[in-house]
Amino acid sequence: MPAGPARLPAAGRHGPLRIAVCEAGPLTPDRDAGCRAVADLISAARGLGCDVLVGDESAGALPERVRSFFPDIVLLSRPGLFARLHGSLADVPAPKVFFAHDLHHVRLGLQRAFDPTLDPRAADVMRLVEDFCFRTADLAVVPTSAEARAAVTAFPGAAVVAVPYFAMPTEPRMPRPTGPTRLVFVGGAAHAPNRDGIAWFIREIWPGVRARYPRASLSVCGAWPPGLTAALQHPGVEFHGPLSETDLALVMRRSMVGIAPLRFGAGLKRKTLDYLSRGLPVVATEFGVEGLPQGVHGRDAAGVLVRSHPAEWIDAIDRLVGDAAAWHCLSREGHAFISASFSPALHREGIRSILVSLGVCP
Amino acid sequence: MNCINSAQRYRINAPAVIYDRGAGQTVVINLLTGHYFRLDEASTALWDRLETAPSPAALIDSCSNAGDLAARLPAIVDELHGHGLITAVDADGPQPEQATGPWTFGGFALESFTDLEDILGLDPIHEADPTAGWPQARVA
Repeated sequence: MPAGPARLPAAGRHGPLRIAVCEAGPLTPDRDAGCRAVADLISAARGLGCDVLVGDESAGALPERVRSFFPDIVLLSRPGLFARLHGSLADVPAPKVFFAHDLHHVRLGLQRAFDPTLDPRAADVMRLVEDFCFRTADLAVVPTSAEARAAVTAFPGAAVVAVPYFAMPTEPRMPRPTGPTRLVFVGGAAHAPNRDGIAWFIREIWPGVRARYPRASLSVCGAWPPGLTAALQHPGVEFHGPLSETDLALVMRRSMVGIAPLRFGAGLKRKTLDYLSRGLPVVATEFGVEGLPQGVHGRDAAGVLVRSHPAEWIDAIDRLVGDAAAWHCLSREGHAFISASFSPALHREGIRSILVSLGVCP
Repeated sequence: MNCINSAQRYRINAPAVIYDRGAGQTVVINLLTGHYFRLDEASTALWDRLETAPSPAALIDSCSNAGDLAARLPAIVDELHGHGLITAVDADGPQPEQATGPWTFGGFALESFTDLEDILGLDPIHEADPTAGWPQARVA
C-alpha cells in the first residue's frame, strides 16, 4: 500500500492541521481561473497532509458546517464571500484568511476607461469593501508581490503575503504545429477583461491577421453566451465553449500562438501560464503578463511577445507564424520559465509558508 | 400611513453594513446583498445620529424641526430597514448611548445602486437562480 503524504500537524494538539476552504458556489476549475486557484490550494493542502473541508456557500448552512469542523484555519475566497461570512464566523477560534485573487478595485478602476456603463463610483465602493476584507482578515493572500505591496499601501495595517496561486503541471513541450495558422484564446465571458479583450482583438487585429493568412482561425475556449458569440462572429473565429482538459490540450497542440489581448485587469493570468506550460509562444498586452515574477511591463517576457498596438500585434503574430527558429526559441524559454517558477512543488511550499506564518503548524 | 413604535430603537446593521463619509456624502454598503447606497449631506446628518441607536422619540426630540422629521421618520425607518441597513435593538441587550445633540432635519434621500451585485453579492462565475436568488445557484 503506497504511503500517503506526511501529515502536517497542528500546533499545540495531536492530529493533522484542519483547514476550512470556503467558496461562494461549487468549484468549477475548468471554467474559471479563480476556481482553479482554489482547487490548486486544496490539492496542495491535502498534499501537505492537512484535513480540508471544502465549504460551498450555495449549499447552505456554511457557518454551521465550518463550526462543526473545528478548523485550525478558515480560508475565505473572494471579497464578496469574505464580507458576507466573516461576521457569522466571528466565534470560530481560528485565523481567518482572505484569499483575494486580485485587487478588484484596481481592475474596476481600469475597466471604467473601456466600459462607460460601469458606475463611476464602482471602484471606490469596491475599495471600501476590500479595505474591510484586507484589514479584518488575520492574513490576506494575493498572487503577486506587486499586489502585496499595493495592498499594504492601500490598506495600512493589513497583513498581506504573496504566494503563487497556481500549480502548473509539467506538460511535455509541444511540437510546432503544421497546417493552417491557428491562434487560441482561453477565457470565459463572465470575466470583464476577457469580454473586452476578445472583442478588441477581433475588431482591431483579427482582420489584419486574416489579410496575411486567409486560412487562419482563432479558437476561443471558454463559456460565452450565444448573444455575445453572435455579435463577435467573424470569418475564422470559432467559439468552442468550455472544454475538458483533454479537448483543450488538443486545441492547444494545433495552435501556433496563444493570445492574451487584455486591455485592463489585475492579478496573475492563468491563461498565459497555461500557454507557456505547454511550450506555446504567446502574444500579450502588458496586462496579459501582469504578475509574472520577472516583472516585464513594456518589454517581452519569457516566451511572450508583449505588444500594445494592433499593428504591433499583427507583426508579432506574423513573426511567430513565419519564423520557426523564433517560435522554437520562445517555446523553450516559456516552458522552462514555468517549470522553474510555477511547479506544484513550489506552489505547495507557498501554501506551507502561509500556514507557518500563521503559527498554526510547526 | 406608516406607524412606528416610538420606543423601539434601531442601530446601523454592522458588521453586515459598512459605510464611509467623504466629500459631502456617505457611501453605505450592505455586504450581504451587494447593494450600495449614497446619502447626500442632509441625509448623512440623520445617518450619523443612527450610530448611537436612538429611539425615534429621542431622535425627534433632539431635532429643531421636529414636525418635519416626525412626518417622514416612519417611511425612512421602513426604507432603511427594508434594505437591511438598520436593525432593531434588542430591548434586553446592551443599551448604547442615545443621541442628545441638537440638529436640523434637512430631508432624506437614499440612492440605491446594484451594479456591483455580481461581485459583492455573488461572484460572476456562479450565477444565481433567477427566482430563488442568492445563495441558490442556478441549476445548469
